[in-house]
Amino acid sequence: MTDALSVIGGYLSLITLGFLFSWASYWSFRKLSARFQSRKGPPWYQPIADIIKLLGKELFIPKLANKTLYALAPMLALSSILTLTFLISPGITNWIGSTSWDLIVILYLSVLFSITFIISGAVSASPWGKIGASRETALILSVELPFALSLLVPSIAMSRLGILSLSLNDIIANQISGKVLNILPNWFIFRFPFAAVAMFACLLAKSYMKPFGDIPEAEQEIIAGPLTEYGGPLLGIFELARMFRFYVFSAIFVDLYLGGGGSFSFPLNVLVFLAKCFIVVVLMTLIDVINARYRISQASKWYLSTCLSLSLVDVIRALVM
Amino acid sequence: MIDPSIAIIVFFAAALVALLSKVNRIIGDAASIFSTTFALITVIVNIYSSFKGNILLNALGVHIMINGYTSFLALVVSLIGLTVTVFSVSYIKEGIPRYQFFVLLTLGYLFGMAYSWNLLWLFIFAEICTICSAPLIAHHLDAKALEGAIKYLIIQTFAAIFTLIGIGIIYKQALEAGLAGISTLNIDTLAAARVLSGNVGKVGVILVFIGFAAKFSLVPIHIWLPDASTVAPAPISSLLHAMIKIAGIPAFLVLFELGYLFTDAITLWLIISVLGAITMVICTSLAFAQHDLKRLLAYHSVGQIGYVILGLGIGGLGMAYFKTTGDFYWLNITAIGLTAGFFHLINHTIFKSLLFFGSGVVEFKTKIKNIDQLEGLFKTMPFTGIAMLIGSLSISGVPLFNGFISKWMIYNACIGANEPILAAIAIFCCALTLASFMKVLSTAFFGGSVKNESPSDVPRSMLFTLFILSALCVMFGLIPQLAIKYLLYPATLSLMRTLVPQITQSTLPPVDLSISLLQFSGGFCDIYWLFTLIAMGLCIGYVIYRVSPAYQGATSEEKLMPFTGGALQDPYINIKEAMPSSSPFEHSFKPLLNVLKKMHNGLVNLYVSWIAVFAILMLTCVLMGWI
Repeated sequence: MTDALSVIGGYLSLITLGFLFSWASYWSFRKLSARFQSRKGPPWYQPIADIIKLLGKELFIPKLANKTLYALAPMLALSSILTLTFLISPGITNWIGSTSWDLIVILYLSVLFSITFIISGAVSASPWGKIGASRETALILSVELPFALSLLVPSIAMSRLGILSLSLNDIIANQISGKVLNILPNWFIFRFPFAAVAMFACLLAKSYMKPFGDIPEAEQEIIAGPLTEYGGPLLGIFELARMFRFYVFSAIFVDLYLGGGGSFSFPLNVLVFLAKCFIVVVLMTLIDVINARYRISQASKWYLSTCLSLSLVDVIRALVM
Repeated sequence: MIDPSIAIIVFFAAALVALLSKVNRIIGDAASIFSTTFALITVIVNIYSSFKGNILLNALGVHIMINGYTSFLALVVSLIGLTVTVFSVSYIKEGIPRYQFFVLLTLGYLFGMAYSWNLLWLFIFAEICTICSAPLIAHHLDAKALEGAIKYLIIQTFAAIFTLIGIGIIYKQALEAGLAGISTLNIDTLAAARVLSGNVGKVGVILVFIGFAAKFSLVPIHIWLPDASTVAPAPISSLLHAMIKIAGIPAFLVLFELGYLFTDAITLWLIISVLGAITMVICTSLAFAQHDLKRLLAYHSVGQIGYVILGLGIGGLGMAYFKTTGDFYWLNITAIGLTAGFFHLINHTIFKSLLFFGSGVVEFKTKIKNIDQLEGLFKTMPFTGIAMLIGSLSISGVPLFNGFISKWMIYNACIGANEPILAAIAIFCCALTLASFMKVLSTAFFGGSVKNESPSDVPRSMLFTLFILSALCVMFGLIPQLAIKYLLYPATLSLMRTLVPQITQSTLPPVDLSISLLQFSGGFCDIYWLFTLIAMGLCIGYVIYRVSPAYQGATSEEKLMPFTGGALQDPYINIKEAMPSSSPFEHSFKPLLNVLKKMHNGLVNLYVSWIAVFAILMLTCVLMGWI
């Protein structure tokens, strides 16, 4: 019973943490992009104000849409991203939500998150939604293989050391002690830099960042892609779910490749972890701002050639080292 | 215990009675349903009696074994037999006596094959099944159906030659060791007596493997399946996909039980696991490019068989490691791999039959095969739509459905056996499958058709079949432990016990399946916690939706047309127009796909030569001493 209580307590506290962090980083994403483009940028409460406004707007469902799936898609998106928020360790090595099969769960739930986007486009009966959904399908198909491989690189490397685990707790613990080349910390980014780059590129696509990630919702071409028909509270829930991407996808990268919260004691390691996450968000923002949008064919070609070979190089290195 | 040979005789008697359905088709229908129900009862009774121990019977000269493994296979046969016969009642309209006669014969022999425990009888039953099912593939009697049936016969017969030579070699070695009689070829006798030796013995086993693997449609020899199941009527496609598994799994049985023969069994099982992964990738990506619904399903079928092969391969790999190292950890991996393989086998039979029946209903109603021409079916046939949705979610390995559990166990087995790349490929193929079924569902089912057709039902017997299979999909997804404990784990144990006799379900604490279920680091949670958390998230979303001020004054009754910006006259476009110029694979792997398409050119000469090339490669490995 106490175990069940601690899971629920952990769930609620991490959702709060993830929400606050996502709020802050979504705002800084928008503010930074604005400053880079010589605009003023929104005030700090803008992201949450948007969502509250949407919750109060009129709700309508297109005549030709499948109503159940149309309403279910945003809730499924929120559910998958909240579960991810709970499962990913906030940089500590004894996180209660960490399972022995973390990496597979992360793969599944992150695909589920993208799938809800496809569902919303496919059932909304809008041509732009259809186009966006098919672009999103092409994009996740291209991204998934390099993403899965680079996600598994740390665990492959650990299995060579005799630790057979897919748990983020163990992966963070493995990065705490030891040095790479006697100077650098023992983070996987220094041990497997190619896979880290591939992973970062895949996370860009998964969190709807340019150059490839926002192809499915390219506003100059297809209005808002899958979300064209959405409005009111359903769009609000979608926006809320998509806000969490800042926390979830940067946390995956920090835990896997940047050593989580390091060897600090409890409150400090979470803070270090959040600082690292914020740096990742800023990096993503920079890449988003300085790049233009590419075509979907270029995206799949890039992910399935360059990105896949980068991750394969490190998979082979992990296997033979 | 009921003697399975009684059920086989009932099948044959029913087949003869079914010839009378020229007078009135009710006779044939009644005979089919009676015999399949009887078989199902036989299997369930025998599963219960097999808990007490193995029973070896000699019925009419056929060596019949009742243990966990054979009961499991027989359950698959009788389950599919029952659904096929019920579905056919209103689906098949012409050539009824011929159809029912051959369906019952095939089922009878298949049932015998599931229970037989002797190499020679396995071979005989498999070949008679092939011959009996060829007329079923050619049921429509048009040029394409006949072509598919003849292709099927040629390829299967060619592969059967390998099996026969292999059995000959094995029997000769047994004779030289002083054993004689057909009972020498019993699987457990062969495994226990260890009469095989040297390269000759290895060649024999590999030849038997290749012959049965051609039925299992392992990748270089898979090509006949999509052709055959596209032209056959929908229930026959479903029967065919159950048949290939029953007729193909002896390939793994032989290799597993006679694996002591090989100098490097680890390499052998690695080759097989990799072949499974290749099967997955090739066939799932080819399925992505199909536009005929049944052909797409058939390619996916081969792709899913790749998962079964991968699971069984990892099981064999674990056993090979156990023999080298003696570490009990590897027995655990063997148990998980084999259980996962068997679980995916039965799950795949269930959801693929569901999908084939669904496609049959669609074809029955609309007479259209091409996915791109279908639209808005969810509105005109809602029950079929829900069934297809459940089937698609199951095959794509979405949580809460049966495909998820077995695929999950396969990933676990791969990672436990330290082959994470195979796991990554399996997960990737899972995403590919999901994308492919999103295409089908969103085009044919959810696509907003502007036409206003009122929902019209199909015959009840069809809906009943769909309902039963959908219920099984959900049941196995929600309470997998039931199937694992009473069906799959006994099957796994009865295979392992021949090799490691000290294993029993109660006396072997190290072999447990708990590591294959999700565990939180606290050690108290299982996979249900994940579901609970997802459900909690859904509830949070729903609460936000309900309490939002907008919901209170919702105007969802107001019918609105989608916004097109004036760019399109017709607000609905199908997914084909919406697709980017070509699929991502065609962009990136164009040369590879072209080679693949050339390999699938439909010429039977090429297909046969692939079997020969595969055999030559495997035999080279044996003779060079690599395995």
